[in-house]
Amino acid sequence: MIGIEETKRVRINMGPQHPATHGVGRFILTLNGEIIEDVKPICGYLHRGLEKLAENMTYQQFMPIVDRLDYVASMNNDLAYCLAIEKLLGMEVPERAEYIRILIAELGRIASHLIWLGTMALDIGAMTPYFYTFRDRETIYDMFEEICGARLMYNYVRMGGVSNDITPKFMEMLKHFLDTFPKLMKESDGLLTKNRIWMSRTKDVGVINYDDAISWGLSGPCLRGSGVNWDLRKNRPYGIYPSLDFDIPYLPEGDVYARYLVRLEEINQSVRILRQCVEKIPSGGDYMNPESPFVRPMKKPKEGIALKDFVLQIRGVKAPAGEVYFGAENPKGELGFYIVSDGAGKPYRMKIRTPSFVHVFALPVIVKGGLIADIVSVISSLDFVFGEVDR
Amino acid sequence: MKNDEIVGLLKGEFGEAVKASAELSGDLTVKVDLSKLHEILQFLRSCPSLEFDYLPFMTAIDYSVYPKPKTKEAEAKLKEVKTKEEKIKEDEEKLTEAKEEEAESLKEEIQKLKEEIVKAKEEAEKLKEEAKEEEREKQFDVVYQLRSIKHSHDIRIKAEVGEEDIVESATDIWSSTGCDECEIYDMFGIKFKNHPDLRRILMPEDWVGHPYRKDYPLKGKEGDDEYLDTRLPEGQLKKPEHTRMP
Repeated sequence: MIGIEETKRVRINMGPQHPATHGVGRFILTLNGEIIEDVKPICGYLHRGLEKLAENMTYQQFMPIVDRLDYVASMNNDLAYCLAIEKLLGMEVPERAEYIRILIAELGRIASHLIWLGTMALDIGAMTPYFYTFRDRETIYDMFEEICGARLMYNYVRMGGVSNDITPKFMEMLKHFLDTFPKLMKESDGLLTKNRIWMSRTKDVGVINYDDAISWGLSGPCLRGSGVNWDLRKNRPYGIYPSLDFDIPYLPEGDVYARYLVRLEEINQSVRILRQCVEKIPSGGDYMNPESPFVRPMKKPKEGIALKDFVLQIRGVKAPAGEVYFGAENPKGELGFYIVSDGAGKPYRMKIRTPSFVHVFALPVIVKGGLIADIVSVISSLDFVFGEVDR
Repeated sequence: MKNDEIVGLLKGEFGEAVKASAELSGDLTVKVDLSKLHEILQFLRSCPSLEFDYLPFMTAIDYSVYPKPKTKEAEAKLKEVKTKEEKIKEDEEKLTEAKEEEAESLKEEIQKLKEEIVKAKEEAEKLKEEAKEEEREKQFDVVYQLRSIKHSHDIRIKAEVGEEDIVESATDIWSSTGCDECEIYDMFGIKFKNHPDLRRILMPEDWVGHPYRKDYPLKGKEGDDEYLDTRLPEGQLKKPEHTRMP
């Protein structure tokens, strides 16, 4: 008989090409039988040195690169970056642009959560929701294509407003979406939420308590899944969020199921915000602050203006010397930009605080002591994207 | 708690270790001494009226090429003085050869220049004293952005760190600093003690240099190609010329 008393620890390498790691992440698991004793996350496979690149670019040149951080919620990244630059420069945004920004940010949040829901269900073994969620996400991407022409990397939000106005067709599509989407959402909701297999795979799995969640720096739905009532849209309000009526869902359990329910409720709240915005949005007005230093002169340039334009392109808009930190509530959590300016047209140093980076390194404390079969659902519930982790 | 109350509390507790505080676009920044940094962080975490329990991020800044406008101005003033002194010398040489009418105008000019030099020197000294604020002893700053979820206030703590200094790790206060400290070690080469697992996380483990330092080139160094070459089996691949731009 093989001696049971003699236990050996096994090391398993998960990734970087594992489908459940959602990108090129690698985890070295130390197993004792089926129990996970330790996880060592290894990242850097997608490292592009964005913070170094930012130091060598003007503020507007860095704009398209921000899209490549969390590439399933590009609109929200754009918005966070623009708000940080506007805080540094003290710029103002016209009212209509504020509404457009909230519209696209909440649509981006829904699209990001839909991708998360589909892939999480697929990872755990339910295939059908994947098709439902990607069908709905497709309509959102069609709307984005209608307003800016791009489907994935938008570069739509600009410093001082947005790049172009929304069209009547977009508003029609949006109204249709708001009418149909809540019913469609019930399909995947009905397949999963009360499903016994789903509940047994997610309930009491990957638990992180209130204090640990704060100490490990979790943010967004993961933090709220542990019972912390914290949302930057409410607690550090930006844009026109204070004038809108919405709730922050939070649940005290701290397991995968709680994070799942929080995200589902967030989708509903986003729909609520969108409905209010559609009602309140002013029918006319500027979509871009005409006094923004980033705007090119609209008239045919005379000699002097052409030179000014040229200097603006080469040297960038000079920001006052100082430092600023701005964090925005993105679908994945708090995306923050810490910008140190020395008075030139380029940032002296830019630190990008990404939620996924923190979540990856909080994974060991969440899965320790759990079963190896559960690590896949925990990874999905933390919802990280490696473009954001490695930067 | 309001920003000035927080600063007052800190100054009352630690005195001179709290060097300076500033408020920039609503963000409170406090500069502290490195030797008392860990104590101050612990105080910020545990003091019941502050209770900074959440750390959004932690990072470092390399200040080695940060512009110093006032030192530059002072240097420019001193240069002006030098050129004027040379001009006086030239004029004096001319005086010996000049006729009476020219001599008088030259004397006047010299008098004017001398007065200007005295003024410029005074200004330069003033600027030099002001420029002392810009001078830094150490190359880096470590930055801690803190937040209290309970009381909903923020603070940013900065401390000057040199290349040889070893910072005490804050992982015993906030667990989330673990990955940030690894990143700082990786990108800036600042070392932390009492860290459970300090390693390079974004760059490969055998990487030479620290990319986010200001002296690290953006487009690669000349030696990089040779480094690649030694790793390849001989004759198997050519020197990768395209990896580096001139």
